[in-house]
Amino acid sequence: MRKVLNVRYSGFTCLIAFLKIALPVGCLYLLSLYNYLLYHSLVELLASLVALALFIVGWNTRTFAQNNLMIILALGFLVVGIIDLLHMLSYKGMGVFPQNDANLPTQLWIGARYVEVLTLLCGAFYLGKKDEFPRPEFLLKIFLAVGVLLLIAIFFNFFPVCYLEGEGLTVFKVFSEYLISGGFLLAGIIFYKKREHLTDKILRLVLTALGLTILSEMSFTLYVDIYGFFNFLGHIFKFFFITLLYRALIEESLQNPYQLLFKKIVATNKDLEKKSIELEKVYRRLNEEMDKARAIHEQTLPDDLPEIKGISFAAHYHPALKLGGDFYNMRNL
Amino acid sequence: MNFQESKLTLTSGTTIFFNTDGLTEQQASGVYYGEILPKVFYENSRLSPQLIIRAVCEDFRRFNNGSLQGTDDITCLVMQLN
Repeated sequence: MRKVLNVRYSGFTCLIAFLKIALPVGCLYLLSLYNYLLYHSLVELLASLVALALFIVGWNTRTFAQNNLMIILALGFLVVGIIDLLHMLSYKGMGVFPQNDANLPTQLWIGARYVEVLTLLCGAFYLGKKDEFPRPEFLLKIFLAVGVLLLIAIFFNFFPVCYLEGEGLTVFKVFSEYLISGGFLLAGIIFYKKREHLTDKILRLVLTALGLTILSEMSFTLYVDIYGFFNFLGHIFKFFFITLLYRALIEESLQNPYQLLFKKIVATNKDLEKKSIELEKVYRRLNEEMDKARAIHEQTLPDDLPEIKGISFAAHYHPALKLGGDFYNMRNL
Repeated sequence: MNFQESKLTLTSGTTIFFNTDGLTEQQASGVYYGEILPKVFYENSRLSPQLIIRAVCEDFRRFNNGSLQGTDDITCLVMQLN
């Protein structure tokens, strides 16, 4: 903590940090003024692409994953990405689906958020529980089933109405956003409590991403017009959430596993070296013991065979290993 | 181990070769040294015990690729009546 406080930010780095946020916000704002539908489509498309990338990378690196968070996020965001894509295509004015009102996209939005919050809660719950973790193939089926059921509910009108033309957001939709935000908050708290399983960088990324999502959800409780300012703001938060998610994905699934693997190899090598030294010590001690035993054995063998008149003797002894089991002697009876 | 006791009268000049199984059961290229030992012993049996031992050892060393060490302990003893 002190280390962070001691860092002195120069005006230049502050400017860079400001521009990193202000520039995309400015561009996106101008884009939204020019064509709100284009702005919305780009942000949602980006979200779907990142979700898909998360799935592809997370799924295919699942065998090296150091924690199962990335597998759960990959599976959850596959479903989220698909629903978000449908949300984008069904947006008012897109003209892809026959229902050309704001209800369908809002329902899809809420549906996707429910899956998202469940994914994060599930990820938070299983973080650090490697032994009890279900098989990824099984989880994939569960997530796909949830997605399909959700889409059936929405397209066959079982899902509660979220937007009423002329009135705006329904109580269900606003309540859902609060519920979902509460879920994200809970996930954030669990992640923080289990932070020993995450690198500092990932923890920071995840918590910031969750914070942005909550801000995004809050904005979406406020709009009346789906082309209005709070809708724009909500999507801006979503945009930053996506970029953070993308960075977390690259960090955790692509860069870290190899660093971790390398670290493990170095540790194993050191361990082996230690074991080899120990082994040598044991070997040396055993050797000493063997030498002692051999000395004892050799003492039992006669130095001189007895002199008996009229009989002469000669003997030869050679042990197989260091310590022998043959004994001989001559006695005059 | 059960050994039977028996009496044997030895005449002067008798030479007896005792050995443990390590010597006769040593193998090289599929041959047991026990198959070769009698011949070496008979050829040298007129020598003194020390020389018989030395002759057998040298022969064994040649048989065993230059080493006196076998897979098992090797002990042999020669007793000779003068």
